Amino acid sequence: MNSNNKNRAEFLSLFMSNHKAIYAYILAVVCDVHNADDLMQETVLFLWDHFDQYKSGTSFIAWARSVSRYKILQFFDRNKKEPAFLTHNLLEAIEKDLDQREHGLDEQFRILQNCLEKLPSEQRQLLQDKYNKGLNINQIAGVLGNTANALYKRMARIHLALLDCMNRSMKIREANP
Amino acid sequence: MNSSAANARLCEWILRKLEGTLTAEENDALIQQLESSPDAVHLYNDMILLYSSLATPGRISLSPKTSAPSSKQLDDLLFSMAEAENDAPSLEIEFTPKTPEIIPTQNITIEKAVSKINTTSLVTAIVSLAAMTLMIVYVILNPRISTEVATLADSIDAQWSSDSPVKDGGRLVASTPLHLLGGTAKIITDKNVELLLEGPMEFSFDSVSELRMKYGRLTAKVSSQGVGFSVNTPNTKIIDLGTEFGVFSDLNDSTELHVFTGRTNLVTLQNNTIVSSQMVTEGLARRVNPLSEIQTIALKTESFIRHIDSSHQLILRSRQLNLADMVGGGNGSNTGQLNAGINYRGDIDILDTVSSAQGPQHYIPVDSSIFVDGVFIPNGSTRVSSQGLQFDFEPTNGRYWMGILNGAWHKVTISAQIPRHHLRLNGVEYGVDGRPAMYLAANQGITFDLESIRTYYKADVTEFTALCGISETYNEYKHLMDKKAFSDSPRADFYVLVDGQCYYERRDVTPADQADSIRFSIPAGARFLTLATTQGNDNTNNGDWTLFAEPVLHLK
Repeated sequence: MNSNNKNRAEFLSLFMSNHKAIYAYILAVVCDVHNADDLMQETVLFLWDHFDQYKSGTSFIAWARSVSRYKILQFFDRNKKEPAFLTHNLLEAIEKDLDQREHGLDEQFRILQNCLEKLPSEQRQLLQDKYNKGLNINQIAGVLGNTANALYKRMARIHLALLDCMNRSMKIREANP
Repeated sequence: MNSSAANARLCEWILRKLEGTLTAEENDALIQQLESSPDAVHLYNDMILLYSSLATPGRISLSPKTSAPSSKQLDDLLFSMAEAENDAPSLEIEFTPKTPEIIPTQNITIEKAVSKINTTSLVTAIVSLAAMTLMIVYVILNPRISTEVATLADSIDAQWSSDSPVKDGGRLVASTPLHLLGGTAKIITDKNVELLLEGPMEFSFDSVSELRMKYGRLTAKVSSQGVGFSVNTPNTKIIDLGTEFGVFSDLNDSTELHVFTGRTNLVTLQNNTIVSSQMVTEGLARRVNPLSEIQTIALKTESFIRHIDSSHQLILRSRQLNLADMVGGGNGSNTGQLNAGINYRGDIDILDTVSSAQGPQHYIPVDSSIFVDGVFIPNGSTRVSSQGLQFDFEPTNGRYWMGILNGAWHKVTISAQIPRHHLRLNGVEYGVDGRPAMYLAANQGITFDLESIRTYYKADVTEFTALCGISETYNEYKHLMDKKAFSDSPRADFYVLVDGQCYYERRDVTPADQADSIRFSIPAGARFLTLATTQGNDNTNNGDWTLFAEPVLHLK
């Protein structure tokens, strides 16, 4: 493998290991899916463009997060009509909370898969409509003939049930390593 | 820990925030809760991680029947893509070196890269890999940027060609030609643009924000999220700037643009080159001919579908409901029967008249229409709704002619020989095609159920308009009337009530008076709209050929 290919392989490996955490961080800060998608793309392109500045063995996620933070600042600077969602103190609280769980993300995803399989089929269908088909909740409500308000409440309960299942499973695994 | 109800509310707010539907007040409440509770911050991050995990295809499977690809499978795929990229032809891309941006990093030493190989090759490789990486990111992180762009939300009698079968609820994919042979269809794009299509039509989506039509007819209602949506025809590009508009394109490269609300930018093209561009605003229409010349034409609001609802087999070409049509058993969009109406058994039937009759003294519910609450004979303090609302009319003789008619005609056969004829206001004959009217000969009243109308149309009722008066044809026949029963100049009163409150009143109108225009806004949440006529101060309902012409409820 020549140095170019090694570079690509290393970048892809680091990126694939960390992309979920990078995206979650951006989404947590801007709390808007479309803006988060745009910022993720900008961040990844920047990371690749400047990958020669990355020093092997150091924290890729820390570098990626600092880049994404910078891109988010640029974004809010460009879009004066979109005020930053989080205050400085709140941003710090969210970062601190995220720091404490980055290492367990892969495990959480495995647990999530198990919890999804326990959901009643109609609830899983709603999640499929939302996430696989890419419909927003208003659109699903329209198709089902529900009010958007009722569907938001129902979706909130489904998400809470999933989180509850994941938390209980994590505790069981921690108790039985 | 918060209660589960509080957590559910917080989850709902976070979902709404992510979807862009959180109100300013809810946003403030969400921030306040996050700032005051570490548990709320934890739940916020839980929700964000869950949302991003579910929205990331590949590792999480929502379908119980298919297993998600393993991490290794996915990595193998990505690496094979990377290897394939080595053999791909180079891209010829003009590159302007940029000054590197300095980003604060942790434990990272920023060193200027030293070029050891041919710069052009390196740049090409980087750009190629960046493009590939971007593609990977698109595929992995953004399901919406898969080629699905819209959903077929509803349809009525839609026939799709066998090459492009689509079912209600089905997803539509960019760059796929679609051929609606007949019927109507409602499509909602992923940026919340509502498109109402009328077959025959051939079209495709270039992207979530761009529809290309070969020919056909559509109405686009663009939400604030979808501003910038464009409709391309062979010789135009119509760019929405926040609006509702209709486009008709024929096979001869002629395109019509009709703007109902807001504004659009109309760009004309010839051989894909821009010829001209102009703003077309609310209430205006333009035609672009095959030579790409722009012509001003009259706005044709009723040439385009404005609402469909397959559950009611409903196709509306207007946001205006004809109340007379509801009296004839219709739903307000000219589906009722002309010259049918409501009698005092509460039935909808073909009405005829012989003479004035004594009416009931109580409120008559109308169960045969979901839009009409009931009918009544106004006489002093009278009940005007099923909910018991009362209104104080002047005392009347309690008599009426015919019933409440979807139409406008009268005849007299006993006391005089007046032939059946259409009634007229301000020189215009009503109760004929295109000129609807509700003949409500004094003394009669009808109450519409606005809540049912809102529910049926899933829309707000915003305004009532009509023209009211005594038919001027009375003067042409009065010489034939029995002088004992009919006066030279009958008088009548008109009332329009909202929830039992008077919104319009006109007293002692005569056939010689000009008809009067009624227009008022209906308060949000109002339940009942009542129209009534009474005999006026001549103390008889004879000759009170009173009608509401073009009685319309406006929807939003």
